[in-house]
Amino acid sequence: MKFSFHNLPLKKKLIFITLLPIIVVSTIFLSVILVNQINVQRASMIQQAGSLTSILANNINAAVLFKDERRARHLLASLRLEPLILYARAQSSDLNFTVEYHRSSTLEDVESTISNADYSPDQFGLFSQYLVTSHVVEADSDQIGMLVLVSDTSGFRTSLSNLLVLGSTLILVSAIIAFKFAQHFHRSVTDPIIHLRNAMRTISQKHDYRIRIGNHDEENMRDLYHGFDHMLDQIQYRDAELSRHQATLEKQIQLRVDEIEIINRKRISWLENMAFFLHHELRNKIVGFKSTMDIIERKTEHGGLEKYLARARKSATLMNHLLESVGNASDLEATLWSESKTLLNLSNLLDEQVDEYAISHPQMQFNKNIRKDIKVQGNHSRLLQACDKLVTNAIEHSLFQSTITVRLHERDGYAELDIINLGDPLPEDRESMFQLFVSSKLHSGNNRGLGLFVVKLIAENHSGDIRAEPLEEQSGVKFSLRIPLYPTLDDPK
Amino acid sequence: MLPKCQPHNCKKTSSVLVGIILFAISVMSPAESENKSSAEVKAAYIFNFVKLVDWPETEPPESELPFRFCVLGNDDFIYKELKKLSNRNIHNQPSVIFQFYSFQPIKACNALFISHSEKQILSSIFEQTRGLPILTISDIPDFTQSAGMLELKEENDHIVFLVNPQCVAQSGLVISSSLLALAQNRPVPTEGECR
Repeated sequence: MKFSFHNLPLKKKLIFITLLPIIVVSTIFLSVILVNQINVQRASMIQQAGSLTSILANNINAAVLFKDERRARHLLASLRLEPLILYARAQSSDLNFTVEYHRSSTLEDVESTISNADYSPDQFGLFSQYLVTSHVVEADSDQIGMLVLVSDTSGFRTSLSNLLVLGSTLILVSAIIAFKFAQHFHRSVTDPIIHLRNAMRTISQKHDYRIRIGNHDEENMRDLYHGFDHMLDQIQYRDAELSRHQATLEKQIQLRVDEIEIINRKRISWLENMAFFLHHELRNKIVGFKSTMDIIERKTEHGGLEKYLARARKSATLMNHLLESVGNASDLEATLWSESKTLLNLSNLLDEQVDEYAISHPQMQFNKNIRKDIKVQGNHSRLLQACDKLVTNAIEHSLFQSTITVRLHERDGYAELDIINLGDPLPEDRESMFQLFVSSKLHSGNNRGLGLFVVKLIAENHSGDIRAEPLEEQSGVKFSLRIPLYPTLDDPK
Repeated sequence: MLPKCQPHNCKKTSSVLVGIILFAISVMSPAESENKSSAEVKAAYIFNFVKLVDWPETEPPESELPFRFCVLGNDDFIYKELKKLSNRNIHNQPSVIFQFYSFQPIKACNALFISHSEKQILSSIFEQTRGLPILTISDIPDFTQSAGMLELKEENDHIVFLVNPQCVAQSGLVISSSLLALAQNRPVPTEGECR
């Protein structure tokens, strides 16, 4: 996983912020000191070797001048006191006089060592194995020879290693000490924030806005705490207000629902009363009127009155039918609202019902297109009644032996039942089809115009609707009954 | 007196004479060549000595004058060998070599080699040179015991030298410690009379 500083926990971030500058500064500081020490030691070593070479050259000049080998050896032998000097050679300019000094046999190839430019003071590096210094042997400003010294630099390199180890150790110790301090003192920053976070979590989980953070000694944190507590005060107050308003709103809604219920009950009662009045009172009067008409007809011998009596009888019969329809419609409307609704599998209901239609109406063909498992909340018998009405209406207006399509599908949160038939077109005023007493049949017969009105009532009772549309390419009609899918239906009570 | 050369024995006489001369030459040459090589070494030593000795500043400054080697006495070998080396500079001065048979003009010398022939008048010479910055050198035995400064000796077929540092100091000369270290008598510069 790619390291991201921003994703680190607060504690680790603080420790990192504390450690990083300390390590960087320590490293830079110690590096500077280290480099300086190395340079000083290097320069000192070169200077010491150079000085020794110079002093020895000045002292050996007479021995070289007079080619006194004994004296020269004696002078070179004094180098034994300097353990770093591995080799020395004094030589006259004419090369006829050469005296050498060897500390040990460690220096194998003297000539290549002396001629190696990396060992010269100018090019001497940190990892050069030897340091070769030379000085002219002079007498009276004349060069009479050369003195060469080869020094061992292992001591310098050991010192260098020790410095590096010491520097690294110091950096490590500084980092450890800084880490310990940071570990201990980070709490003064993280604890208040963690306390704040924990309080926030508790409030969020328990929705308890009474919780408060409290006080803090440090000014910035105190301000933060006070701000947080003030925010909680506001939330608590608004939450209380919200609850109070919610309760008030619920009360009001309940009042309105109760009012609507009362009104509904009153309306139902009125409808029941009207239905009773129509069924009993008015109908009795019409029966009385008809019987009187019969008596009059029997007692009258004039043929001219028969025509008028027949007309009156017919009107009375029609009135009777109308009264019966209004009574039935009022009855239906009164009972619909009191009927309960349950979860129905509309697909299964229609699937069985269409098969029965096919059996009971063999002259027609039925095409079934029913999607499975469409569920609604409704009244089983009323929905069946609505379907019966629509199919009956379709049969009445279809061409003989034509096909009636029954289709059930979902659309926009509704279950949509389409009854499609080829045959009579729709009247121009489509909305009036669903009103009471309207019939589009040319010869009404016993058709009282109640069927589509009943379907409309049932649809509205189920929070749905009914609509009719003409077919596009052929003469026919599609009736669409829409009912909300379960569980989105609102209980009308 | 050589025998008279008769006609009948002249050839024989000439042969004898040649033989004697050749014999004389053969007897004489090793010593002479020996003297010559010894003088060559001594001259080299003398030349090297002066390189390791500092003279005091004078008026006019010595640097404006040539360095003056003087040979007092009849040691011609030393003179000739010094002459051969006179093309070299001493203390950035050209060098000149003089030979005297009396010590009168020796006060102008920078370095004075005293030959064996002057052995008897050493004290007089030192009287002349006392306190003057003249480096006295000789191969006379016990020269340094007699207030001479540098004494050359032959030992085991090589030349060694002795130094009298008090006399050197009294004359105002400064001798290099490295030179002192080479001296056979290992002298240490101390306060004291030059003798």
